[in-house]
Parts: sequence; C-alpha cells; structure tokens
Amino acid sequence: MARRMPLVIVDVGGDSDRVTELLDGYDDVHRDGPDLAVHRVLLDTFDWRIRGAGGALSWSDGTLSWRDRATGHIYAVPQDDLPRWPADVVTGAVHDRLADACDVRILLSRVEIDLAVRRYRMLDDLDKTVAWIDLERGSVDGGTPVASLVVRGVRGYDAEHARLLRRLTEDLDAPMVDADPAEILYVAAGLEPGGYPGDHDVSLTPTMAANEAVARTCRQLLHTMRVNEAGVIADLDTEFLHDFRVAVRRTRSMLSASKCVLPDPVRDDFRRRFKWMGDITTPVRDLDVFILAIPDYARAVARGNPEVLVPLADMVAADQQEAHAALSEALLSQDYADLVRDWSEILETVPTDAETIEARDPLVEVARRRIWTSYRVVRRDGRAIDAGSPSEMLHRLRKDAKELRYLLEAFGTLFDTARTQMAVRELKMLQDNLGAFQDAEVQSQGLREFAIRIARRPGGAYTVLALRILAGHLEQVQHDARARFAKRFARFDRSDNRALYKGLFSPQAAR
Amino acid sequence: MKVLATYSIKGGVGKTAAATNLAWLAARDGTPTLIWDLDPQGAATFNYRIRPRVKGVKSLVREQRPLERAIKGTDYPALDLLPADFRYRNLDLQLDRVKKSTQRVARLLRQLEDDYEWVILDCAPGISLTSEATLSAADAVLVPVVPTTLSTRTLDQLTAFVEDEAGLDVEILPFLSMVDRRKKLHRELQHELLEADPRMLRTPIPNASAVERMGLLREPLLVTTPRHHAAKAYEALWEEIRERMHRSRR
Repeated sequence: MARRMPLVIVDVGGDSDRVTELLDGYDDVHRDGPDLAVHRVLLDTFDWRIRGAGGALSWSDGTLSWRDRATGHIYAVPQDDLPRWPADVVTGAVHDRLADACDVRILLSRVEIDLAVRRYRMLDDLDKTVAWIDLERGSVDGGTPVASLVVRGVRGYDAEHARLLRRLTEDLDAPMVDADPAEILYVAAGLEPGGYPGDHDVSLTPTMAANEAVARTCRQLLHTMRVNEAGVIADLDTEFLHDFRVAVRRTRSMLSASKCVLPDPVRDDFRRRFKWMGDITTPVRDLDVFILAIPDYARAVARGNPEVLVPLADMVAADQQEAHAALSEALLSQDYADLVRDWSEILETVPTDAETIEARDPLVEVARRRIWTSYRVVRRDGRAIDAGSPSEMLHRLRKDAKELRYLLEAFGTLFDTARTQMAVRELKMLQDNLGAFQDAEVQSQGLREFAIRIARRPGGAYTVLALRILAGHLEQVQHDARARFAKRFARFDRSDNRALYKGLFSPQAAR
Repeated sequence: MKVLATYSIKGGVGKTAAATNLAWLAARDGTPTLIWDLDPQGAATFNYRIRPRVKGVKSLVREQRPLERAIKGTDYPALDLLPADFRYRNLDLQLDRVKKSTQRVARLLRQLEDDYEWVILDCAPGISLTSEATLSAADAVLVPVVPTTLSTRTLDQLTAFVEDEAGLDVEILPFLSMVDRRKKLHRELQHELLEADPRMLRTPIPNASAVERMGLLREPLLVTTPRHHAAKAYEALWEEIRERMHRSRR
C-alpha cells in the first residue's frame, strides 16, 4: 500500500488575514497563482458507500476527484457536470473505484461549499515543491463559515514538512489536526458520515422485557422506512425501495412473532396495515428487478445486437413509472400518514401499557420460544415437500425461512453468538436455493408476459424470440434449483443442525 | 502494474525527454505512476528538480533497504520519482555480485506492485548487465529512433540484443524521435521506417527547441507549453502506447 502523505489541517477561525500575512513573510513559501474561487461539492451515496470504500469524492470546476483516505492519493478526471452514476464518468481510475463502491446506488450531493482558495508552495533550494499549503475560506451549504489551512506533505520530504508544521505551530498558536478534509466539511454541515443514515444501536439484553425489545426494534425499522421515503417517492435509485421493503417485511416478522407480546387487536390491525405496505411496494420492486437484470439479459442473448432488448427496456420502464406513480400516491396518502402516526404512538406506549401474557417476560425467553416455533414451521413445511409438490409450497417455505432468518439476526446476540451464526449460515444455503427458484420463476413468467405484449406490436419479432430464449433459460435455472432442493433441505434437516437448534432454542434448552 | 522502459543503445536521441513527458501523461488523471531514473546522468531527475542522490544504493540492490524509502514525490500529485545517482554507473558491478542479477530490477519492482499502475524506467544508453536487468523487468521497451541512415541498423542491433542475446520476451515499441520535417532525408526515412517495421508507433516526435528548453525550465513540456506541437505529439504517442499495451493485455 502506498505510504500515507502527511496532511494536517489547522482551523484558523476568523484569523485568516494574520495567516496570509505570516505565510507571505516566509522566504521559502511562495504563492502559487492568484486566489481561486472554488465551488466544491462532496458526493456520496445515501448510505455512504464511497466513504465505506475508503474514498472521498468531490467535484469542483469541471474536475471530479477521488481521494483515497488512507494514503491521501488523489485520482482526478475531467467531468463537466455532477455525475449521478459511475457510468457518467469516463473509463479510468475514478470510474472503476466508483463502480466498485456504488454498485446500483445513485451519487448524491452531500455538501456544497463555496471557497476562496489561496495556494502556496514551500520550495527547497532546487525550487522543488516540498509541501503544499492551501488556505481555504468559505461557507458550507451557504451557512457555517469555515477557514482552514491544509498542509500537505510531499513523499520523500518529511523533514521539510515537519519543519514547516513546527514553524506554523509556533507562529499561529492554533491546534493542528491530522484529519480528513471531507469529514471536517461533513461535520460543519451537520452530517454524520458513515453507517446507515439514522441507524442507531438497538442493544438488546436477555433480561429486557420482551415488549420493550419489540418496541425498540420496531422503532428502528420505522425510522429506516421514514429515511427512505423521500428517495422512494423521488425514485432516485432502486435501493431506497429495497431498504424500505426490508424494513416493512421485518416489521411484519416482528408483528408475527409478537403474539402474546402485543395485544391481539393491535397486532392484527398493524399486521393488516403493514401487509398493505408490502403489497403496494411489490409491483415496483418486481419491475426494478427487471430493470437491473436487463444488462445481464443483453449479455446472455443479445451480444451481437444489444438493440434487440430495447423494446423490453422501454416497456419495463413505462410499467415501472406507472407502478411508481401509484406507490408514490400511497406513500403520500392519509392512510400511510395515519399508519406512521399510529404505529409511532403504539411503539412509544407499548413498554408501559401492554398487559399481555408475555409482555413482561424476559426477552431471551420470548425470543427462544419464537425462534423455536419459527424453526419448527420451516422444518414441517420443508419436510412436506416432495418431487411432485407445487411451486407454491416452495414459495411458502421461502417466506417461512425469511422469517426465521430475521428472528435469528434480530435476537442472535442474546444467545451463543458463534453457534447462532452457524445456524444462520446453514439457513442461508437453503434460502439461496429457494431464492434462485423463486427469482427464476418470477422472471421467466414476467418475460413471457412481456413477450406476449411486445408480439402485439409491429416489428418486435426478434425481441419476442430473444425473450422466449431467455425465459427458456430461466426455466432451466428454476428446474435446476428445484432439482437441488431435496439435497439442500436434507442438509438443513440433518441431525447435527437439528441438534444445534435444539441446543439453542428448544424448551429443554431453556431449562 | 505495467512497466515501460525507455531505452536506446545510442545516447542523445530523445529518450529522457520521452520518459519525462510520458510519465507526466500517465499520471495526469491521477493514475499512480513512478519514473525510475536509472541513467547515472540523471536528466529525468534534473527535469523534475529532484536531487540526484539515493541513500544506500548498494543496500537497495541487495534488498536490505526497501525501495520505497528512496522515492520522492514530484510537483505533480500522482507522479513519483526514484532519483538517479551517479553511483548507478557502478550498478553493473553491484548487480554482478547478487544472485540472478538479470532479474534483480524486476524483483525490486515487485515491492511496489500495489503502489503504482505505471512504472517508467529511464535506462542508461549502451549494452550492459544493467540494461539487461532493466529490460527484463519491462512489459514493453520504448525505443526512440532518429530517422538517419544508421537507425535501422541500430534498431536491428537492439532487437538482436533483447531477443536473441538476452532472450527476453518483451514487446519492442520503437517510435520516431527528433524528426525534422524540413529535412528531406528525415521525411523519406520516416516514411520508409513506418512502412518497413509494423512495431513502429505511428506518432513521430518532432525535433523542437521547446523540447531542449525543458532542461532549462525543468518541467515537462506538457506543463510549460501544453499547446506546442511537440507536446501534442507526446500526448498522441502516449495514447498509442496505452492502446498497444491494452491490446497486448488482451
């Protein structure tokens, strides 16, 4: 790994005139051109993927720069407009890093800052630059003023850099920090970079009352729904809806598992209302999956003629827009506003009001009972499937497995973590098989339906042919997944995995 | 990491001018690039205003001291330089004392594999153990060819040395250098060389006083006079090299 370039930031506060006077007085420090007015935009995805990948992305005056936060190395590329997707950036080092980090997420402007930058170089006796000094003065998002001196070292000239810092420390009498310039601006803008927006630790303890744990977990899930709402309505990228749906599904799992924790009428009412949320989001998600899959389809069947799938892409996009309009309407409706309000109120009052059988039981006991029941449902439904069983039975099992998985993930920390993780790994293998089966079925059926609609239009013969080939290919994938199911389930249902669940979650384990 | 060597048996043919400008172009978009000045004359080091001094040349060669300790940042963010040292004139003797001497430069460069995407080795002219060790580390050798009557012969000698004597599997990419369009002989030979040798890169580098002035200004031509026709020629040459390297990768 390349060595980190020393980079030090000095917060000069409102005293920037004294700093310029000081720097102008140093013999070996020289101004590098006139002051620059820079409009800088810091970009990242909604869930800080660029930061997570160790980068900091900024755009200013036609240049897009990716700074490696560990090494300080900067990759830059000319870019006229703010990019929204990695594909908007020309192929090269910046593009590749963006594509790896962002995947399907859109780039958002996180902070905008107008700066006056005065650049200085420190030169040695050969007139070689041995340190860079940027005095940056401006305001973040048109508000908070910032003024900092960014002192950047040059590889191989550490002694000169250290000497300069010593001199500045003495002369300025200001604190110096080895910090990341982007982080400073994020903080100045009131953002908390990193992690999932608004996520906070839902720490569960074994002795906590079950109703309190359910309330805490559901509050976090509701929060996840709320932070994604705007992105879903604006249809910025597919992940806003994906994450929104995951939160809805987990809330539904929590509601299912809250029998005897929440009063029945409350539970039934919210199960119905969250099912509505699940239902209204499904059409858009299914179409999003098609949109994301089209490049793969093109590679599979249309290598010689990528145009052949354009009618499909157009039709999917039009359907998605229509479904999205209906979804947005639902999210802006009074019903949704009422759901959010009522659910928030319930979650605030549950810990004190609930008077059900299990509400005040220790969480670990309730979680154990729920996981055990959920596991037994998966086992029962899986064992009932044989070679002649209809697809619906596998779909039912997929849902059962999803619920068990969420319970294991939500409450795993209350049990032996390593053994719970083993249980998750085993379950995941079964889920992968069931997921492959279901995805291939949904997609092949979808493609056949699109083919019928495209066939009604003039000039779509090649597209219809390509879609039928693709559907046939996906049916083969589904068939293969079905053929592997018995083996996968037998693995899940083998004696040592049964013993694992029994040891962790059975009523005997509780004693 | 792709390694290019600029090399010529003969001196004064525009080798270092090419190395200086091509390295700057490689790093222009932020791609981490290293230029290693292996020529004891240290012209590339001089062009980048860096002192031609490397601490512990012997211990570097013997891998007792990591190569990265000798690297200096240039005035351009993504471009670093491993300076020349007058003691490189004795590099042959030092290489002669280590095992598998002809693979030593390649071995040393492996230390930097994760740090750079391009490495440009500016070799000393002549035929020596150092040149053999340097060329064996390269994926391609960029050979400046001045269009004179002897140039074809020199290129043949170089090819024979690289392929037959040293037995290296390295791509040879000759390019026309110091071409004076006012000279009839240059025009004729340029045409002939391009026709006769399919390895020859298509972009000729003109003979221009701006290139010579680089030694006075001590900055790449692309920085001081980016619109000069010689600067444009280096840009086109770099695109060609990238394209050839990309093709050979496939």
